[in-house]
Amino acid sequence: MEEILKIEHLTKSLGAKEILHDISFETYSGEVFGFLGPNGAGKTTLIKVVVGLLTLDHGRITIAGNDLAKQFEGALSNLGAIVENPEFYRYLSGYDNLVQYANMRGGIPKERIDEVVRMVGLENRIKEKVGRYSLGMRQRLGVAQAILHHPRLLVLDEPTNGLDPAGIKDLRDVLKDLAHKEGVAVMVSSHLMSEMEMMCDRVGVIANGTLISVHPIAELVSAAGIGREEFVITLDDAKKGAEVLSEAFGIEILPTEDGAIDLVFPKEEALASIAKANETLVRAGLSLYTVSKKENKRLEDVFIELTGGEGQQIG
Amino acid sequence: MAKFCRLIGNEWKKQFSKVATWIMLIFLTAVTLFSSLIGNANQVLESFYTPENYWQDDLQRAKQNYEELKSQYGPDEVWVKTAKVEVDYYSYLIDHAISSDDWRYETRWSSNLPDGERSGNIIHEMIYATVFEEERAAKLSAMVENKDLAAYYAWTFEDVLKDSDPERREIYEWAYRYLIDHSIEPTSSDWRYGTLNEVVGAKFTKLDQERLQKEGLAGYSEVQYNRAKDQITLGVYRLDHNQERNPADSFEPVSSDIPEAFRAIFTLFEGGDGESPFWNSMLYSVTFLEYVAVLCIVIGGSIVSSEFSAGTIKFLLINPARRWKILMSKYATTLLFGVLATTGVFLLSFLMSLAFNGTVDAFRPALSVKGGEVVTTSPYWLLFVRYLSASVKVLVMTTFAFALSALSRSSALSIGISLAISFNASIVVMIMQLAGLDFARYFIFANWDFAAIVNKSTGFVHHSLPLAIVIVALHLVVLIWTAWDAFVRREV
Repeated sequence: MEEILKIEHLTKSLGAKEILHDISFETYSGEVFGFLGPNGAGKTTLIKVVVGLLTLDHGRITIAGNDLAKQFEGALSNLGAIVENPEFYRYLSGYDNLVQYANMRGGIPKERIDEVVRMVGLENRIKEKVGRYSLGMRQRLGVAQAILHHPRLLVLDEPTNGLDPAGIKDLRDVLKDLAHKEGVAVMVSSHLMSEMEMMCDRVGVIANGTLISVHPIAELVSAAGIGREEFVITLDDAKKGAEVLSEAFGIEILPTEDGAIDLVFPKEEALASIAKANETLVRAGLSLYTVSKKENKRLEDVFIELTGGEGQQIG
Repeated sequence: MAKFCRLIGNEWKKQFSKVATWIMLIFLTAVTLFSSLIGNANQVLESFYTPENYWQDDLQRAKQNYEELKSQYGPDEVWVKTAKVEVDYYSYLIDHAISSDDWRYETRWSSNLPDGERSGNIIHEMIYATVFEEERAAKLSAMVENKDLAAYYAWTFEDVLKDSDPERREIYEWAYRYLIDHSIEPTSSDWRYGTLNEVVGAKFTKLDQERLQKEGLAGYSEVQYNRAKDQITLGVYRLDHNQERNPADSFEPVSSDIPEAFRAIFTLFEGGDGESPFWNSMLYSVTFLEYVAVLCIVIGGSIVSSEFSAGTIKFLLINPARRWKILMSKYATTLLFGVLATTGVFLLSFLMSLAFNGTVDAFRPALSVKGGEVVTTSPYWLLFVRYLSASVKVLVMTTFAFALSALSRSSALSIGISLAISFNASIVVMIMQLAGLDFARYFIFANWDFAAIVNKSTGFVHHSLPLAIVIVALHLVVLIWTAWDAFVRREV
């Protein structure tokens, strides 16, 4: 896998406030990199620095081998992006807007414009003035604009904003195809964990301007406990119950401090196992008060846990 | 470079896709056409004038007047007779079908050529004589009835050809011969009469100056002497080469008291002998660059800030084009608009001037005298220099609007302030100059009218062109640097 975007020790202040603090990571061709963080974490600032809208204070950004500060045009010719809301010239048609970008980037044949219009599903409306587009249509046009010149790095800031569920799915497919089939390095920012799960191969978590961790998505999913079920049993004698169950399941089970028993089973055998546990306890002559299923830890909890519970408060 | 051209192409496309641009272009065309009509006002008014029935009204008025006086005082009072002269006069004009441009009707009064001590035209003179002086009447009526120019000149030159001063006599003899030999009619429709009159006047001035110098008297002025000499050279050249009007006259400063801006409209109605209405109207078209300035200020004042207000700036800047290229392509597009609008204004004015004045003057060379020789220049070059000079203000104000737009990111602010300055700056400087605040001469607003500085009509003494050029260049550099700093270095 080829390294496309390389960020080294990036620091950025706006005014007296340090927005980004010593951020380093890479994205590779053929992967969708998710960039996850609560509002105000610095996602948009980071993206603006990467696409050259903001200058960096310290550090170095390289896009496809071009130093952003020194080889600006070389770096940006390998980059396609949507930053914040997709805004276009409202008095031009969607097609003419794309022609504007084609002219600025150079060497883009007319067929390529038609091709990207088909890819984002705008063929029927492309000759209309952008002023009459909905947010979703502008988002699609934004994607078309971003991939027009076959960039090796695609940076999308909350690209699913304003899209309907079908649109989100379409976009997901387009991005996955670009990454997995055409070898584009895709970087997507979002504050929606579930969206990331479906789209990304790796996820970087940012909070308060610091990159906390970078995980393959599978790791996060397992950390969220998906695929297990957990039960809590209250009864008259927790200590004895634990002993009986340890014997029946062949693993060591200990009672909790508040006099209950926690049981964790793989999802597929959960029901059979809990039935077996109940039967075992009753046969041992214990009085069963309640058996309740514990809710799964959701991805959002992992997210909040990872970001140190800062999600609620912007600052 | 190819990329820069593509960037300009993009800006061009954007501007022409805006309704506002088209409205402004239509407005510019309309005001140019309308102002051109004013610029050709003389011709426009003349086209409404019909000489038929012209005398009829006068005749009826004269008759009514005469009848009233006669019934009151009887037919033998002097003023009743004078009133009768008027009736006979208009009747004669109608009966003999004499039009208003007939030399006998329009016999021109001249300051330097003798005119037989006439009180009006010679037809009137003749009718008057038939009533009051019988012996003059015979002589005049022979002249009038036979359209006898030679007799007319013989009559009018009779006294001056006997002038006791041989040098003065020589001048009159020359004029007399010239008039007879070339059958020049004493009317304003024959331009040669007026030109000859000017040459004779200059000859007298030259003669006077020569005598003052010879006698060492005060009042000799070398400037006046040389001017008279040049006038003679130029006048004789025009007479000999049959060049009716001299386009160069339209470009001469009228008076140092009149600011350049007003001079153009002044010449429209006060054209002298030899001045060309065609070139007066073309010179007037230079003032239309004020409208071009409005167009350029509106475009320059919004071309950067509109990207910010529409939010499209982010998508503009994430392209592989350095920011200064984007900024300069916008500046170049604004200036290109100005150049094209100026060309359009010129072409429209040219067509209008041709339509009202015909093609004759369009191909006449501008004549001037240098070192005693007549030099021909293209009047289009003289006009181009005026356009260039007037463009300086447009350039400065457009650059100002552009820089303000990049700095403030507000179209309304940039356009509003720039237009206000553009309209009022010259007046403010003029007021300061009148109030004796001499430092106003260093203001950019006092230095962008190069033609006025060259013609010494800015009001400031010793106003020098090199200093003006330095001041303008300095302002342009600072303004562009401001725009550059605001756009290239600022964070989005």
